[in-house]
Amino acid sequence: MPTAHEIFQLHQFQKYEPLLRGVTGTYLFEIEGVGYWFISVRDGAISLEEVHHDADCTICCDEPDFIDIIEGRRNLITAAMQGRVKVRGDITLAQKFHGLVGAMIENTREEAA
Amino acid sequence: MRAKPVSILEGDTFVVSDRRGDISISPEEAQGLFQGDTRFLSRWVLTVNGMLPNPLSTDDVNYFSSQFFLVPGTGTVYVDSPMSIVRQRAVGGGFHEDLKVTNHKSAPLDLDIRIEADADFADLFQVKDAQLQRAGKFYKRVDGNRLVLGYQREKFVRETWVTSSAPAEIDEKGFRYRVHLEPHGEWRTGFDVLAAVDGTEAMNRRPKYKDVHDTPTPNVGMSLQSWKASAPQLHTSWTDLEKIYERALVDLAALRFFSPYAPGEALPAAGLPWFMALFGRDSIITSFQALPFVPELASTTLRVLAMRQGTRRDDFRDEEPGKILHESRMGEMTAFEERPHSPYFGTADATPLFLVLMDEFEQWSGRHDLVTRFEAEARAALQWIDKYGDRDGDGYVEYERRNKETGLENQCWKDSWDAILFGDGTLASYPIATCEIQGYVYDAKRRCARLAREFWSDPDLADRLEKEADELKQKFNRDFWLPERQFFALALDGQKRKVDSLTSNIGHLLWSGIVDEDKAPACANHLIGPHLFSGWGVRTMADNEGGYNPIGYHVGTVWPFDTSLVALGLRNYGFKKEAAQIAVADLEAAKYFQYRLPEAFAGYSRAETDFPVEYPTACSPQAWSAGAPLLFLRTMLGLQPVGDRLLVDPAVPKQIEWIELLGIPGRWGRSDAFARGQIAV
Repeated sequence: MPTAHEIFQLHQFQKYEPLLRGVTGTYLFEIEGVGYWFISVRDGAISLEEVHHDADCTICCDEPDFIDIIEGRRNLITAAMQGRVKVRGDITLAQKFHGLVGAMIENTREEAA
Repeated sequence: MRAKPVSILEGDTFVVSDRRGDISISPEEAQGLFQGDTRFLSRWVLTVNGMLPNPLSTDDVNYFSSQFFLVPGTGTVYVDSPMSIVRQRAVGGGFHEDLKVTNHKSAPLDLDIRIEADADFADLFQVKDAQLQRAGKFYKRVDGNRLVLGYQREKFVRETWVTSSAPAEIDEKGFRYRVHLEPHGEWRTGFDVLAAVDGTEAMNRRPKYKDVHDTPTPNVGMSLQSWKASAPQLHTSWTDLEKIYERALVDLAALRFFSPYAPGEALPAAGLPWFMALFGRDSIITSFQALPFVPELASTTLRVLAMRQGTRRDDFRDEEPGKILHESRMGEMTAFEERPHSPYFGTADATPLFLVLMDEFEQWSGRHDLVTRFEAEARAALQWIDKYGDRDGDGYVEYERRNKETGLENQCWKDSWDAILFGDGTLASYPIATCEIQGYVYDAKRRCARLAREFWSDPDLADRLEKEADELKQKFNRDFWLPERQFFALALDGQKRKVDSLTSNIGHLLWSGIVDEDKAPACANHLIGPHLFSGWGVRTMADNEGGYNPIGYHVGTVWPFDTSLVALGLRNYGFKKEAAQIAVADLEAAKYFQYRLPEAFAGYSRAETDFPVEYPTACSPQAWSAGAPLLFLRTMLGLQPVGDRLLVDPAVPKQIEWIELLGIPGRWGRSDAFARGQIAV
């Protein structure tokens, strides 16, 4: 199972995510006891830094939950409803993140098929 | 017969109490303070000297406030009560309640006043199904002048905070006041009851009402006035219609809620008490009905549904990429995935209806920014229709739930398990392709062809969609038509058999435009014939079918929203008189429901009963029933945008001498419609 570091590292050099076309905003991922990752999105163009900045949308959780969400084993929406994940700020950006994860999982599934 | 409960609401918060203003739970009645699909107060009982006061009268002052006039029982009609008790309550982010006790005598009174409070934090699904076993732990504590009632399951925390403005003895069961009232004296206190999520103050909403000069001051009062003022003004010789119209606007205002996905903008929840949540189909149809009156509902509905469109295959939620959601809930069972509503996508019609509304909104408002902004979502919805909606490649959208335990069996508007029946009353097998969904798909493709050509710079897509729509129409009129009975089958079932019941669904087909011109007259005759038309509206199922039941939820009752779409469908095919006839009949029924059309009422014939018979568990108010009078008005006045102008082509029954609707909003600014009743129905 990957770590949060490895997951963010995987996307560190990605400059554009077509699934985020039309989306502009900033995210802060606060992985409890592990670190902070700040992601800026401008109409699909993305930049990622391992740093704490104020963001439009902050998503805070522990590392196992974060990995489960990224890999599709846990649903971000119900995790937030359960109090496992704290979402602060612009909830539409959190929804976009949820949609992005879903679309990536779906793409992977279709490629495998 | 039990007295009707008193309900007040604002957004996703509502309070249901008895005629005293008390809240207590019983298997028969779902009382409480509810917010976000959770019951934050299950007991709220006032006693004076250990006795429950008697209600004198109860006023629903407004949709968000009520007051209760009470007196203590004296045990005999010959002794006047020495005092009166008034409770005034206003809901919003919890509720605020003012309690006033007045001594009417010349002698002092000593009173023991108590409010008992408790909360079971039940999920609305548990309340509805009377299943109250809980996985978490309850706690209570007194924090200074605040009583905290709490529930915790893992990190899921819900609390109710209750404070009193007057000093009280507070314990874990509630508040106690030992009051000495001088002759003709008065005593007051105010309660703030706050629904707290996660037990942290920062996460909580503030109560919207405060104790100002002893009167709850609603901070949405002005917005209700603005709401009503922004809608067209209706004047008519039929004064009942004015009352129905006013009631519809107020109910739509009451059912507005504010989604975090579109801060500050409202969209309609489906209905009180069970459906105070976002529903794809209901919000879309209500917004469609309300477009000529309060168009902002459509804009918010489209935005929120687009943002929450499906992105993955998820069998538990019946989710697929591009699909529009069915229902979104916030309670404990949804949070812990004991129910799939986070959101649940078990609807086969919301996706094409979403596209229908998108085009209709642009036609009325001229706002193509939204059509452009959500082009990707519209394309994803179109792709869902062909790739996932049509499960077996036969050219029709059909449904069969993937979530076999808690998913919906029927995923059309008639979504009760026994709604899709053959003429002999037997159940249809899955997967099911209901007829009206094919009509919606036809309409969606026609409309998206226009959007593709005019706004998405994609003439190839426009050509393809028009070709597909034409082919679907041709195929549908061949495969669904029952020549021996002269109407369209309700559905094709899993073995591609025609489900041969006569139902109101054929009226939706007229609304969609999929019906061949030569088949429309037969459909119109059925819709106003004695088997479908009850005299108060169009029955969901004809009374000569094997499955008919006048009090069957989807197999015989009359649903006003359904009748309103049927009326528009009749009108679109040129059946002006028939459209006016059923519109007026349904509006006349509203008189017997305090001018508010309920979710549904029984299908008994008007010849049998001088008044429409209630359906026992109908939601009221219900958003698309509140929208029905608006669509009836549009239909009778013949309102239709044509380019940048509003076409008015009235067909009003003679019994309504005249109607004027002033200030109809749209891409033309504001326009007026005048009509004289000229049609004999």
